[in-house]
Amino acid sequence: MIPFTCLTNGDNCEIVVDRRIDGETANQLEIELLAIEKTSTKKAYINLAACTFICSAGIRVILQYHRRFKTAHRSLLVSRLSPEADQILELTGFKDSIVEPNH
Amino acid sequence: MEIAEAINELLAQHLCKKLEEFAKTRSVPKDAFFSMDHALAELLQNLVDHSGGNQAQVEMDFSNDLFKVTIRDNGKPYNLLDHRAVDMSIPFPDRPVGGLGIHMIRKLMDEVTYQSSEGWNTTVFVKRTQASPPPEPPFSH
Repeated sequence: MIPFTCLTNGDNCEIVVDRRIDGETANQLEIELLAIEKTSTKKAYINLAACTFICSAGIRVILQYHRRFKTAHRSLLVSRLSPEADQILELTGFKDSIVEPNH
Repeated sequence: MEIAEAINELLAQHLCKKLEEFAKTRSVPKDAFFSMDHALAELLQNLVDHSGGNQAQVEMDFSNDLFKVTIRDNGKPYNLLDHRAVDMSIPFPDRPVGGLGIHMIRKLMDEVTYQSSEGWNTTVFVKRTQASPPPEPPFSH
C-alpha cells in the first residue's frame, strides 16, 4: 500500500500521509521530499490529517528537509495535524517551528 | 502474551502490529496504546540499528490498569536511561535532532526500567491508564 499521495498545484505541493510514518515510511517520505526538492516547488506541505503515528525517524526527515527548504528560500511545513500527530510534535518540542500557522 | 522474533528490519513493524492486536483484544485504552506503540517502535528500531543482536522477545500484559511491555534482546548492553536528555532550551534552528527517539520514550512512558544479565538486556515499559495511581518515581534503574 502506498503510504502517501502527492498533490501538486502550481508552485505548491502537498504530501498526504496515510496513517503511519514508521521507519520504512520515513525512508519513502525522504525519497519523495528529495524528488520535490529537485522541482520548482516553492511551498510544500505534509498533510497529517490521517496520520496517527510518527516515529523519530519520520520527524528527523521532516526537520532535515524543513531546514534544507528554508536555506533555499522555500518552505516545507506540516499541516492539518490529527490529534495524535499534534501530540507527538508537541512533546518533541518541534511543533511551533514546523507547523503551518493556520493549520 | 510473549513473542520471540529475529532482529531484522521488519522487527518494529511486525511487533507493533502484534501490539495493536493485543491492545484490541484486551481493550487497552487508546491513549495508553498510543504511547506504548510509539515507545516500543523506537526501542525496537534502536535494536535493529545499533544492538548487534539477533534475537528479541517481547512480553505484553495489561492488568490492574497497567499496560506493561517487557523487551529482552541479546544485543550489546544499552541502558536508554543513561542517554542524555534532549536540551529543549536550545532554539529550534540549532537544536540537534539526535536522541529524539529516547526523548519520546521518556515523555510517553510512566516507568522505564533496564537490566543486563547473562548476555540479555531487559527493558520494561509501563504505561498507567487514567484509573491507576500516578507514577512514582517516573524512572528508575
